[in-house]
Amino acid sequence: MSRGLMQKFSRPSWLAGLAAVLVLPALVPGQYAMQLVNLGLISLIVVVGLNFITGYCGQINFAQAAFWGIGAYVTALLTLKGLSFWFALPLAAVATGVCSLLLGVPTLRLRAFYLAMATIAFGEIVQLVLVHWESVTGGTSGLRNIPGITLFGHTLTGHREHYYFLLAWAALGLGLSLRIRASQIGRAMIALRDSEIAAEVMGVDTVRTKMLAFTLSSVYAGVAGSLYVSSLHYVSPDLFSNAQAVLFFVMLVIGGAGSAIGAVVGTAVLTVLPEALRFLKEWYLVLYGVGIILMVCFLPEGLVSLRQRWTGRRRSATRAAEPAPPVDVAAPVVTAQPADARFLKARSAMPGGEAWADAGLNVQAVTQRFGGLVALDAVSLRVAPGTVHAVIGPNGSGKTTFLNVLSGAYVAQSGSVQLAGTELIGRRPSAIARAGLSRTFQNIRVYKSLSVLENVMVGAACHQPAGWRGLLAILAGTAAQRGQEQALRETALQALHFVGLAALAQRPAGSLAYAQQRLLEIARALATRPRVLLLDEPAAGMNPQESTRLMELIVAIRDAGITVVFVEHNVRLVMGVSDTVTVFDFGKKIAEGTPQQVQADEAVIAAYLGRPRQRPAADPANAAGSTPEPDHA
Amino acid sequence: MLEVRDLHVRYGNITALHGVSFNVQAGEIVTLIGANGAGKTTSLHTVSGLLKPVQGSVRFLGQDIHGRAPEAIVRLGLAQSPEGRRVFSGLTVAENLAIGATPWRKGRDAITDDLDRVYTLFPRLAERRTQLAWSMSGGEQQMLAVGRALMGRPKLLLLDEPSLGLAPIIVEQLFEQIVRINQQGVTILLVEQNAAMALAVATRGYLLENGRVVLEDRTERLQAHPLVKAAYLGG
Amino acid sequence: MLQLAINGLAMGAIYALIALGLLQIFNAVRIVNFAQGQLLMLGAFLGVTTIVQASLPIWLAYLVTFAAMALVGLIFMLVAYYPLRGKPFYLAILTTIAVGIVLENLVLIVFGPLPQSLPSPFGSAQVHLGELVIPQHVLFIFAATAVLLLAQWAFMKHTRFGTMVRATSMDMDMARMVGVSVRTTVAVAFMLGAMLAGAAGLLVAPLFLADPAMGSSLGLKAFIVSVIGGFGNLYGAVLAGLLLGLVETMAAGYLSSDYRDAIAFLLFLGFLFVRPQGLFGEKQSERV
Repeated sequence: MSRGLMQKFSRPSWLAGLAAVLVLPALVPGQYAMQLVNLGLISLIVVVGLNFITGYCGQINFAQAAFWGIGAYVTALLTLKGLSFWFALPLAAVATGVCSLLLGVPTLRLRAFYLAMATIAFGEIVQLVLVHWESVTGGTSGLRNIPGITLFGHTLTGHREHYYFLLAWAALGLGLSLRIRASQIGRAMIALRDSEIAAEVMGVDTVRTKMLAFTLSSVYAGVAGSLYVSSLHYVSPDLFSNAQAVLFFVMLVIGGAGSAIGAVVGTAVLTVLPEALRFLKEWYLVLYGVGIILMVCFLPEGLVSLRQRWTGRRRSATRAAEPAPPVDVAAPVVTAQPADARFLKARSAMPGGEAWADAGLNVQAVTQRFGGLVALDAVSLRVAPGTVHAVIGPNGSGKTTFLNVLSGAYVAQSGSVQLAGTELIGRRPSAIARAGLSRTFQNIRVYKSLSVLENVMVGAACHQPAGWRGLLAILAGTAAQRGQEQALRETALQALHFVGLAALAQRPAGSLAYAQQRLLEIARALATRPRVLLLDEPAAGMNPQESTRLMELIVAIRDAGITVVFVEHNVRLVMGVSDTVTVFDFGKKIAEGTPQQVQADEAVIAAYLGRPRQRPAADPANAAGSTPEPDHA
Repeated sequence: MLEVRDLHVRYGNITALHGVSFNVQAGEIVTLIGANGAGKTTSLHTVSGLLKPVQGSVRFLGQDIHGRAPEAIVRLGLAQSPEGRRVFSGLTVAENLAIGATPWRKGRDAITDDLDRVYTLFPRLAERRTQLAWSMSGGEQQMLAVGRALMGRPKLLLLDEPSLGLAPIIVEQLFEQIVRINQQGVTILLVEQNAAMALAVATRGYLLENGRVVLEDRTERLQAHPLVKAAYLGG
Repeated sequence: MLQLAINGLAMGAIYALIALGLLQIFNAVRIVNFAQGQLLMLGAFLGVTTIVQASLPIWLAYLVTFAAMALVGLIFMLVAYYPLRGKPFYLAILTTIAVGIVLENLVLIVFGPLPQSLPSPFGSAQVHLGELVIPQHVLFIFAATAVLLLAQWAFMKHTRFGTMVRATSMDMDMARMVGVSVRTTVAVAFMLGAMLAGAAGLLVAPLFLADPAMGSSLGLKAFIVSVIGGFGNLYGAVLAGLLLGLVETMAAGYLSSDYRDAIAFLLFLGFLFVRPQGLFGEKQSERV
């Protein structure tokens, strides 16, 4: 179970909550209300499932109602033919899983909006089929007399028995959801929501992760459909409409998207409220719509955020909000024990073992065009292994484009980039990360929703990306998986210790000061155990003390055997720490050498400062354009 | 004409300007130079209203303009050719220029005289008046951005890195026209990374480094000053 | 067969109109309006109120409806745009859906669930061309759509204000820097979007009937048409609309009319899988 969740509530309140839930049927007035509660439990499973793709991954999914329907009808048809519920359930889950694969594979690589549209279309198609394929689905009248659930020889009857059965399933769904959240896959999902590109370069295969989330969502919905149909013994198509899909979405958002507890709160509210407000008749829906609008305006993070606001206010009332402790400037990192860099030096875990270290970059004739603009013009350079290599140049010279091509954010039209013999051009950023190249970003992209430690753990998981098998292991809670999680945690802590942020490990990443967030990005990149580290303007916005600290850090990284390539404007930093400097201008390399050589180079001075010149005489005879001149690009 | 005093500006979490002060007198060309990240564009954006200072003041023609919306500031007689040019890519040259006249144009006021002036300055634009802006070269787009700003009949013209990404020959031609525009009565505040060109055309200059003004002088004296080179390339 | 084609094109023209309204709003503020169909429905019912209940002369009724829709567009902007700037886009989607729900149910309360009929300016007059029987209303749809498209084109391309609206959708901050009042241009975009939806409602209701639930499926068709055309591209949307109307009606005529709506969705999924940028869209490249 999630540690964080158990910490938030004290033990007495846990026991009280548990007791309330177990005793609930005795407190609920009447059969109708009990049926409502059961329906709420089933909806809860659907919404907790939705949370994976929409809450964690941030992708809009309107197909939950359709998946719910598919699960229901498949189960109904199978059990009517005589199959036991216990066989029908997994088959229904498989059916919805397959549907999600068919829908997701083409659309998840597109922008999020397309998934929303595709799921709406899918929902409409499913409903049309359910209504019109009368021979199979029974059309608008649906299917009746669907067999129920038999448990240990006893057939469940009555709402109370179904309540405990459904409660167990809901608890299971919730528990698995929390377990996933606390795992590598959960962190990867949230990372990709916070910054898809920053997740990719840390080795997260974003398309596969989204697919996992989407399939999980559909399977949850399919199981819920199965439970629904076998508890109510009746199914008809009108329940599985787009309006229902919207309702699930609203349940999630009203509670708090991204939080499993939010799902519980939201589902409870929107199961009870329509009944409580039944007297309003048609005005209920108007109120529903207005309520959504108000909530989006005033409480976009859902009801769960109310608690955070309340405790936050209480905390700041009792003591002044403590600022994040400043980076300890007085203690230079190089005096930290050399053993602290051991996580970087532990090569045996890396593919290729000892040969992992000491890799350089060989860039040949790389050209990158954007439409008609040539951002990089046949650039070639070598980065020697184990050195610090700076790339400088005036604004617009192509430096950041260069880093983006190296890390895979852009695909160069021609040329090659080789990392210790492996060609990088054409590979996904996550594949490049696994080949040993990691980076930080100029405009900081930490995963704001995750803690500092969790951010770095995402990087640490770079070389063991979790796929289907990993998901199953996480769900099963195997010892091997727990061991792996512990190892990730240790690596992450070592990386944080290395950059000096270990004391802030549990803080939300978004609450850190700017310079600290930069250090966090470096720690996260280091946790991927890179062979080459790219830093994009690491000193931007830092004061002189922070830049000095950064210089020491870069030297320590190099000393640990990692090749560092960085883009920077801060001259002191570049000159003080680099072994080699390459200068770009207009997308071409114009100079290369030691810092001193480059400083004195005429071409470099001209590129930055321009050539010394006379004041141009604005002679009428020299009006621009009167002499046709060849234009640049 | 323009007086900026003790500006402190934040960009999200970072403090980009730590008490920057400069002024521009009517008829001058004043330049802000410095390495990338020094705070030049931030200063310009604060003057034009896209950024609000947390401290300090900006006075234009005797009025306080800091904190006002860009649309309002533009109507007071200040126009900008922004970094990266930002021409309206789907509009033609003529449409881009026409929309530049928005600050003063009321109803059916004719813009033909203003258009003629811009076309005389930049004959290249006249040749391409029906061409869509996205298809033009960098130099042509820069001319269009400056022309668009001029259409607003500004008293003060803000130029943000006009030489960015342009070949030296084009930069020369462009700066000749900038001097011409100034001679026709437009005061200019020029932000440039290309120090030599900026110092050649301007009368006075300010060297920015890390969000502070570290040097201020007439440009003849700045041109050979060692601090300028050090700011870009280190001592 | 030609008969089917003409009916299909008429529906296509309607689809094009709704899509245009949708794209007006999207181009201006990058919000996908999930309530566009409900706006169409509102237009139809305003028609019912003015023409059937208040018995106004048709031209006056149309005028009043347009004016009311413009007002609705403004209110919509205040509710769905200003509060949501800077927030994640799924909240904008949720808000527009919510507005749609409110509109649909308000109309349900006021008018009741039974479909209402809205007469065409041309009644049930028909035109006979050889074997074809074309309701005059269908011709009216073609004419009205053409006029509206032309008017929109003329406005956007040939008026000063239209140029300002286009500039705002290209680069909102730069538009402010040249003095364009972006509040006004955004407001106009919302008003146009609502008015186009209203026009579509007035035109389509005489073909079927006006009922509060008519908005959802027509709204969906608007998205489909926009995506197929290349999201953001106005000409593409018009072409895609006509195409969809044609294909849908022919398929429903020759295959099965039960699954008529499914045609649209299948076509849509097909485009998503094979050519997501639509007919005229550009492939998006990642930018860090």
